[in-house]
Formats: sequence, C-alpha cells, structure tokens
Amino acid sequence: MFDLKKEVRQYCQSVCTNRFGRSAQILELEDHLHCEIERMVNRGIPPEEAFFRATTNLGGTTLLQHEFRKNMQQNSPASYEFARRISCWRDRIYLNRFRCRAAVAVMLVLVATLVFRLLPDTVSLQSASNLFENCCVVTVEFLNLSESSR
Amino acid sequence: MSILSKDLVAASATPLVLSILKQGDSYGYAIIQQVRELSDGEMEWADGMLYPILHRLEKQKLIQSYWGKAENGRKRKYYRLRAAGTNELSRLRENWQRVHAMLKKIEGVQPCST
Repeated sequence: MFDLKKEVRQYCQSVCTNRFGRSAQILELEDHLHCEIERMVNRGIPPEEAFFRATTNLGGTTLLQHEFRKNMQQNSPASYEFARRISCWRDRIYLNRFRCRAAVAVMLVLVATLVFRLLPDTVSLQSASNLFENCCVVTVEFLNLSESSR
Repeated sequence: MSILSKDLVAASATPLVLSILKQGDSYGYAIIQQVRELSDGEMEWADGMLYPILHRLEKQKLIQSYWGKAENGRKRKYYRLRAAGTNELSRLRENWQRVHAMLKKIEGVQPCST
C-alpha cells in the first residue's frame, strides 16, 4: 500500500544530501510537497499520482541536489570544504576496500592454481577444476561487490 | 504567450522573492504560488529552485527565517525581509528600471541609414 508520508520523507532525504542544516531542509521540502499534494488531492487526484506530479514539479532529485550543493559551495566555503574532504576520505576508503578485495581475489586464484599444480596426485582433476571454477566465481563476486558498494 | 527565458527567470528571482516578502512574511510554497499567479504561467519555475534561492538570501542576511506551524500543525519555515533586504530590493529595482529606460531609449533611436 502507498504510504504517502514515508514516500515524501524518503524523497526529501534523497534530495538533501549535504549534512549541514539537513533536517531543516528536509522539513521545509516535506511541507512544500504536502501542500502541493493536498491541493491536488482536493481536486480529486489520487495521492500516488499527486505525489508523482508534485515531485516532478519540484524539478527532479539530481537537479535539486545540484542546486543545493552549488548554494553551499557559493555561500559557505568552509563548510563546503569540510564536506568535500569527508567525501574524499570516503572515496579513499572505498578505493582501499576495493584494493583489499581485489588482493583477496587474486590470492584465491593463486591458491587454486597452486593446489592444482602441486598436488596433482592427491586432488583429482575434476575436484581441482571445480575448486578453480569456484575461486573464479568468488573473484568475480568480490569485484562486483566492490564496484556496487561504491 | 511567450515563456520567459531561463536567464531572465534566474535574474528576476531575487527581486521577485524580496518584493513578495516586502508585502509580509511568507513561506516557500506560498511564494511559488504567488509567482505563478503574478506571471500568468509565463515563468517556468521549477518549484524546488526557490529553496536554494531562499537559503542563499538568508545567508546573505537579506532575509530571516523562523519556524512556525501550519493550520494542520505541520512545522513550517517562514521568511521575513530584513532591513538589508529592503535596501537590496531598492537597489535591484533601480537597476531594472535603468535597463528598462535604456531599452526605451534604444526604441526611440532611429536606425542608421547607410
């Protein structure tokens, strides 16, 4: 079932991405959306459609985020610089996480190759190829996970 | 009816908002509705664009915000024009009138015949 309050809150949270005065901005946008939706609902438009129209009239999340960020950059250089640094650190953490996962993945492939080469007698060809295949799958999953977490 | 260009809309946003607030305290949604009524649909203004403008004007100390309550009890942010905002509005009005006067003068000038 369509939960209007929840949808409005989620939309406003997605627009107000910066950390400074975030809750005030969310409340202000929420009030705007509720006013617009109430006006449309009074005209007989279903709440779900009214929500969609009201958010479209607002101008789209990407555009709004851009405007809010631009505003922050122009008028509060110190806080913008702080937010930019936090963002850089976050990127670095993601990059390090990606590097760690890539290293683990490479290690797994190496281990599989070594097992196959060093123990050809004890490990049957079938189980070795299964192990190698599993390692490749794990590697790909690791890399996909790293990419999606960015 | 032709729709005003984006540049003109952007340039006129600040004097319009200040003028509306000069009439009395107001909040975002009401300001947008007033602009819509005033422009007869000639201004294509994405609703969300107003809020960054209001926040910018507040940081420039031209307007001041305070929290109030709507009729239904919802929290609502109101804006009030400050003294500096009134001065800025006068300055902007003068500028617009100057441009308007220039355009009028140009209209009056006969084109050169070569």
